[in-house]
Amino acid sequence: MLLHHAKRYISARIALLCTVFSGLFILALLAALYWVQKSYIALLPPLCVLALFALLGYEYVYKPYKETEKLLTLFAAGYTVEDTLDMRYPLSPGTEAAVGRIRDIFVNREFISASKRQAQYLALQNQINPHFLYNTLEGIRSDAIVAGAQDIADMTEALSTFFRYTISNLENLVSLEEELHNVENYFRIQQYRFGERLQMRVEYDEGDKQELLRCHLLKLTLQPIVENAIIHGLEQKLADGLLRIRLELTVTRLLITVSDNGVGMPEQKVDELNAHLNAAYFETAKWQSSHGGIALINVNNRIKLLFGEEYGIYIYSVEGEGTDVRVTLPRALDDIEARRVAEGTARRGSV
Amino acid sequence: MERVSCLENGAALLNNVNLHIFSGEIMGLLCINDVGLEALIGLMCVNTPLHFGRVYFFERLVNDYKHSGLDENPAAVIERRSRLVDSLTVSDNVFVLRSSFHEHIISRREMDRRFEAYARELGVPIAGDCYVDQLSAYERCVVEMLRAVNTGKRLIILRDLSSFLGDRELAEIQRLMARYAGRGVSFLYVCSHEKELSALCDRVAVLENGKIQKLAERGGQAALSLPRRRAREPRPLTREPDWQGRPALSFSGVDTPNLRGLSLSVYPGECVALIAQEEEAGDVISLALGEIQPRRGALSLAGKQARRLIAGSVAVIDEKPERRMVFPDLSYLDNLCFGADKRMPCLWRSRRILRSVAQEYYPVAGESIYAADIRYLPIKELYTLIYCRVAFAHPKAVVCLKPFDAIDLSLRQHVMGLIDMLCERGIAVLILSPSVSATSFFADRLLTTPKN
Repeated sequence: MLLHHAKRYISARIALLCTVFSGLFILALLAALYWVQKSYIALLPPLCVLALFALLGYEYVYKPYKETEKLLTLFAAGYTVEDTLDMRYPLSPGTEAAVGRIRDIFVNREFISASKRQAQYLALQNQINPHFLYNTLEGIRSDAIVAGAQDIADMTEALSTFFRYTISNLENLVSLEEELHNVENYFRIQQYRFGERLQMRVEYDEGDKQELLRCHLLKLTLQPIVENAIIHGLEQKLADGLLRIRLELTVTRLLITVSDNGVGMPEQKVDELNAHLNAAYFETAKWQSSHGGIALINVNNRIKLLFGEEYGIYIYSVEGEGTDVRVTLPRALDDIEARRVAEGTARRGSV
Repeated sequence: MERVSCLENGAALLNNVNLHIFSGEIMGLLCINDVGLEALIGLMCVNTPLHFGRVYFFERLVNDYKHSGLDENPAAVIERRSRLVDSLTVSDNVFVLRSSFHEHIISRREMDRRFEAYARELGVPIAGDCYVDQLSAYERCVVEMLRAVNTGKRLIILRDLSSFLGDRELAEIQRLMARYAGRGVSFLYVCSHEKELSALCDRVAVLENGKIQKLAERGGQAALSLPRRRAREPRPLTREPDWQGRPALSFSGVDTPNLRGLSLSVYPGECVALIAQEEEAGDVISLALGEIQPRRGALSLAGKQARRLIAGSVAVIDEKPERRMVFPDLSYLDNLCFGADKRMPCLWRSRRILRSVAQEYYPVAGESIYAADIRYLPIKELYTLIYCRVAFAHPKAVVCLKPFDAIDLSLRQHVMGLIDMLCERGIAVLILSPSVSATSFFADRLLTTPKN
């Protein structure tokens, strides 16, 4: 294997050369010492020295090399980006410079911008002018009130509120309370269509309520997940569709679980989605919009880009039993704290 | 644990596992199959290298795919295999055998007194000066739990307790769990009986093929809504026992060292579950094998009374039979026919009979029936082999020792099918188990010994 790799890789040639040279050197040394001393005991001190060198070589050369090699392998497999750009033991000055250059290319802001553009595209796929939209909806609402159609007026108002929140600046970090209001507003719109067939419940420990609602997260984190749950999970249910949003707070994390008791997903699809959610964000750049789960992947990418790879989305689902989408976010009780986490992530990925 | 993946020889043991256990929570782990279970528990206890992912204890990163320290986490495992030192006393195991014990002079009386105060507070009657090898399985579990808490373990993993503890003992253990959970100790309760998990746990994770497939939480009702398709629902009974005829196996007022006045009857084609402790089950098996005779009472087989049953007249299927009831050097067919020459002396001389046996059991065993080497057959095929051998021998009755305990859900469903096969052939089946969980909806009748 080493011989085969030595044809192509410099690291393998170095390893082969060191192995052959070391072996020959050791043999020669031992032979010389034995010839001089005519005693095996005299070989002990040099053997100890050789053992010490071997130990040092293992600790300070082999182990760091294996760590760096593993990071590069995982980067190639699409698992991680940040840790590769910040490796502890670069192979050489040239390698370190090359990685720095890659870091420049993959600067987070560019990806956040691309991802935000993608989200804006999803929201504005008909290229409608937002102000024209709000004004039109307001006009419809007024006419509905005049005509006594209160349901239509309420629904139009909900739609207008929803679009105001959705289409406006996506850079904002919002409080969980605001994000939940948007979700409830969206759900009210959907309930107009589904009626009593669909219910939603938000659950949390009462003791954590104040802190939970103050937590900050990216705008439009929850609504795409709720939308997915309704469209892909609950729409096909004939009755008793339940959507649960469970909020949990730990010392360092905010955990949000969106659960539905809908039709669930086949195991293969769950594995595929989770693999994409787990992959590095640039791997999903070529994910076609025809694939299901684009919204989830978009939300996941935005979370990872802003807060770090240890946060994001994971899906549990069993066909026929429903789906749980678990969102893991840093616990940020205000805007400043959230930005601090984000800046920490950006610093790890920047020059 | 976040996005944890573990590989062994290129095969994924754990695949993208995400699991959160909160302080003071009793979390259940329902194992559909046991793929990845050992790796998952191992990772919780020791920080072995990961292919990918992160492990946190109290939100402090303890294991990372980049670097694994191989250090221990504050987690303990309680299972059938004891982790106490048998030759030491209970108080030695609880107080002395821990890394933070630095005293040079040990006051045995003081330690025993401390332990007894501890045990009294918990309502557990165990003496501190008792040696561990004298403890029952239940007492040993209690001592291990006390030791875990005393040595600062914050996550206690309990594996398949119902496979060796009775229901009353399980209830006591669960009471202790609730007490310690109130003090912030977390528990991971591992088993493959969904009813047991629903009754006890705050949340249940379903583990299948090295992945967490679903998390079930308590909704508005007390019961957890576990995935129904995975759970074995009460099956429509297809068995038709012959209750009109004579019982195939009958005990009347039987007394042995561990049984007092046991009376039961099992009819042809019937499946009866007897909830019995380990010692009681041992005596029932010894009676069935003809190794002992009862001090009082009578046995009967197919209506014929006997003081002692003839060896081999009642088949016994051991717990985890794939370890001791197959002959790895023989082919599948040879294993299947092993022992049948007592009934058919010319069996081994006639290829025609062997071919006929293969044809008869092909619908059950499949292509494996022609396997020359059974060492690499999957475990389900080995179970099929053992049950087919019993079916081929066609005894009047079969005694199965803990057929559903400590095996995963899919294998359990397979074993249920095999027991049904025996019943359909008119064989009476007596299941011995310490716990009601697995057998309550499967058996035609459920009996308990007075102790249970």
